[in-house]
Amino acid sequence: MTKLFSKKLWIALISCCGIGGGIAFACADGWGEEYGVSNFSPEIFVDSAYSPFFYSSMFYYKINFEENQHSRFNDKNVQEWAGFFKGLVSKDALQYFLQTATDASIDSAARWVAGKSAPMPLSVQSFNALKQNNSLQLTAFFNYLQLAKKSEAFALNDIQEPWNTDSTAPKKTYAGAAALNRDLLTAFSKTTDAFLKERIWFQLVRSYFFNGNPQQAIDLYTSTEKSMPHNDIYFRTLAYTAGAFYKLRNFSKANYYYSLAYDGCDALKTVAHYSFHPQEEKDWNATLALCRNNDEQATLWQMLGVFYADEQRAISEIYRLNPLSDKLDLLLGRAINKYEQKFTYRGDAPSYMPFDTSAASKLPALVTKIATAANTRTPWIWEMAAGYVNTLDQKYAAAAIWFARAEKSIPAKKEAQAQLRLLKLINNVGQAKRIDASLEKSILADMEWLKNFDASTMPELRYRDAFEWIKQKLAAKYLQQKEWVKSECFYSQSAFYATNKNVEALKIFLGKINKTPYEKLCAAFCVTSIADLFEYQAVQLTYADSIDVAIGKMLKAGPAAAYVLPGNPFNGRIQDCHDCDHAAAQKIKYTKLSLLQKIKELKDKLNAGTDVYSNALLLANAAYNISHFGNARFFYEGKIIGLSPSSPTSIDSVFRSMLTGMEVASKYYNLCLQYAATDEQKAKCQYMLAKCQRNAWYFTTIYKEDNPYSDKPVDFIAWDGFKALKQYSNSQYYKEVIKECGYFKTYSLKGR
Amino acid sequence: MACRQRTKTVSFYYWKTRFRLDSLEKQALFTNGVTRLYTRYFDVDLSPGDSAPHIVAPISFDTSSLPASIVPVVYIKNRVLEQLDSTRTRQLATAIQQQVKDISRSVNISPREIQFDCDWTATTRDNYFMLLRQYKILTGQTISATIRLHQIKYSARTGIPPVDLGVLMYYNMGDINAGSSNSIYEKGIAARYAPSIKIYPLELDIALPIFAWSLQIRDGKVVKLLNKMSFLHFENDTNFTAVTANSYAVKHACFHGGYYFKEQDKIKTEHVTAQSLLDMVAQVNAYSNHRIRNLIFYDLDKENLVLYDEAIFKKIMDRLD
Repeated sequence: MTKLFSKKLWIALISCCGIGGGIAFACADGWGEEYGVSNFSPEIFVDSAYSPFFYSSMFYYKINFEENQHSRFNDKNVQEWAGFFKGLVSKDALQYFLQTATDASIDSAARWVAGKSAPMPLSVQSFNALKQNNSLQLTAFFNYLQLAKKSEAFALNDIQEPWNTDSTAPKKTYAGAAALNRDLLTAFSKTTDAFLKERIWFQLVRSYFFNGNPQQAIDLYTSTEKSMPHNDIYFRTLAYTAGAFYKLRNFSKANYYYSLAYDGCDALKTVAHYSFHPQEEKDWNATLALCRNNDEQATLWQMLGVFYADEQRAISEIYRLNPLSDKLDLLLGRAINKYEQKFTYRGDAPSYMPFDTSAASKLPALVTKIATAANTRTPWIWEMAAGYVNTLDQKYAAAAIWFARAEKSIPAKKEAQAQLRLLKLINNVGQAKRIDASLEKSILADMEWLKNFDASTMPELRYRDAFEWIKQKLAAKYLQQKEWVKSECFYSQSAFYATNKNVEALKIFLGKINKTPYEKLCAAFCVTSIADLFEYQAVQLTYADSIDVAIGKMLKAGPAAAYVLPGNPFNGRIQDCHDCDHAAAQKIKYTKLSLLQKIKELKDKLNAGTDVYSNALLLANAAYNISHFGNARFFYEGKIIGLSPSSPTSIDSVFRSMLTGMEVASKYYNLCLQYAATDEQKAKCQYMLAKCQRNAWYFTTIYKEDNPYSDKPVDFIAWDGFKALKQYSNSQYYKEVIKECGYFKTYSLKGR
Repeated sequence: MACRQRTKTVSFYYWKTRFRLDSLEKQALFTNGVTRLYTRYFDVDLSPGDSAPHIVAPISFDTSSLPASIVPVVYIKNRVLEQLDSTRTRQLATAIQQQVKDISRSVNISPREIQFDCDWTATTRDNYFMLLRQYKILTGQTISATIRLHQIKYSARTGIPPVDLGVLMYYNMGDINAGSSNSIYEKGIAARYAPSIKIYPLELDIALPIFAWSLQIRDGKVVKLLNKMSFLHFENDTNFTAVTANSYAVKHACFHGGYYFKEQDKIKTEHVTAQSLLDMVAQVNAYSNHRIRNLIFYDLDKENLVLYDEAIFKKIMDRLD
């Protein structure tokens, strides 16, 4: 049916875009890193102040949404006031008055400072010494606090969520605005102390922004800003001025001021990002024209490149303005992180097509041009990036030349060295047409480095995707070269275990005493141990009914042999009920090994002709129960076969027919039938054979992809056992079957 | 035989969160003798992490001089209905009634009619209908409900809402994608649904689309829906090159309308032509048996009005059988 949707759809569509409107589906197919696939770490060469703007599928890298609107300047503020008091007041006391004290406690402290209240409030104990020496400073502090506290009424606005019912109602005006503005203005005119003056200035511009005519805020700022130091308070004041311009719809100036705040104060970078909104191209051009120098223009281009996801344009413009600009780094990081999303590997099998080169891009040409000119502040980053884009485009020889150039000027910093080493290794493995001894030798140290890499010592390095890809790539190449064992070591695949020759070869390889260093590396990567291999062989032999040999293998399977099976594998039920069998009391608990030993004992008895019916029945039940359908399917679970899935279709195709096969069980149930003496015994054998036939039938029909019964009921199939069972309708067993098995009951009623 | 007919009328939806009419919008109301303005009051949705319904983005009026009588419209997000029981339904109906009253009181009106807008489904229909009945019991008001095309065609599954009147939304019938089809109106798709009008048991008004938007497409994927941006925003801008009648390519990267366009982005514009509006009426006429009297255009906004000749609304009304 055609999709019809509400008029409101656009809200959902628009709100799903992250920073810059770019869409990143890096994590679309599961849980992954927020940057998707990456081998190129901006953390290593981009100023950490830009971290929220690193390429990410989240809104801001690492933090997603920012929630420190009210607290981002707290620490700095306390620190600056501590400086004002020259360390004579404890930071705790300052923190209390600046952040948590109520109007009342500030007032009472102010009264005490002014000598108007005799008992000293507890909160001002640490000011006592100061009061004796410099009460003017204290008076100024509390006078300022009283004004600042009033401003909180309008300045501390919680973020309005759309489901707050008053979100669109006009904001309430602050009743005391006129008086506050007057007091602030008076204080501003009178104060001579530069530290206090700047803070009062900030309060006043902010109050004008919230409560007055925006033009007042602009006028005050522009007439006085030259006398202020360029610290956080200055840039906070500037940001409110930007907001005032925005209120007046002077977008070009608003955006220009936001760019100054973005560049001047790290804590305001995200604020500027929220607020920076060029409307039309003419606004944008006017903003550019306001810039006093190339560096200011470069800031604007960086904001455009990051916020609107046009990194390449921004790189070109900044490079044109000033090749030495440090504003290029963030953009290069983002551009490469986007470009490298083409670096893919499949999680399920080694891929022969590691790189999807379908997306046309001008990025390689741009990066190469800048790297060639070698006139940026950090040529090695560009050379390294040029190498990496070439690797991504499968131009390995060109990449190697760039990496060699980067190597000459790269700093000794271990993170930078590690980044280059990783990229070189990717290129080295990528270029290999076949893996020969010389390549093995050349990658050995790097592979050991990655294998033993302690991420806690260098959290910046994004090495995991590369490491995984390299292992898969090596495995794929070894597979091509028919070096099955090495391939299996780097990337395990079930198909390897389909051949016993491979299993034996792997055993020999893992058991080899004098391994070369490279062989040691391979063996260390291998996920299976010799014991796992023996266990697997024991399981295989059990299903082939070669119990004697199976026991020999199981004895070498290590701890797995002692695994206790949860139910009695010799039980045979009308209705399979694993939980019931697992819950039932058991005199003897079987392990994987003791089960095999018991089977051997029963087989010996059978061969000796002792109580053939009973022993054949027990053997048949055991064979049934260790299949996928039985209560002891844990028997086959292990490192190689894995855990048993609930549906047989989910069993790896390599093992599926072995684990779902009913041949051995049927063989023994038939033998059992042959030796059955009574109708009760015969009825039981027939019914059990019907179960085997049913399981086999399900496996060859329902559990196939083109299941012919997908939309038909299957309750009608008359198994041979069912047909035969009818002749024993007087037996007690028959009655129990009728009672417990609805399937048979349906069938039996049909026959009437 | 004489048959009693309602008079044909033209109305509009008003779908912004601040009620403030500009001269063109006032003119449209005046020229078309509009006496009722269907005004979105608020949405009801669940807030994240909380299963309780909330009122979302209620309208605020900048003026109390209203040019027509207001019919409040409340949009109920379908997911709100998934978790209702009878007690909560009663609470929700009361909360809606109270909020409607509060908003109406702010402009000194007391509407006697309300419209509910909801894309309910077969699984939420019982709860939705319970809410509608509850609201009727509570207020005794005339209640109308929007009906989407799939709800009219598959009414056996989605049910007939217990209201006095339905409003058939004759738009939003395709997927929003980079392909050539129009998501607002496709004659062929509409034709598959229109015959159901004939047997739909509710009295119906019809809502017709006059809105326009554009899709920003990058590497073959829609990256943004440019709300209220019609072709008019691109046709005389040298940064954009017309590719087909309803698509543009970005020649030079630029800011426009508050959006940023990257070089090589594509723009697909979508709007409904006057001819399409006439086609819609013809389609509806074929099955309506003169039952439809009230045309409600979505939505009253100067950005939409400039796309049409002033006389279009009367012309469409005249074509209505």
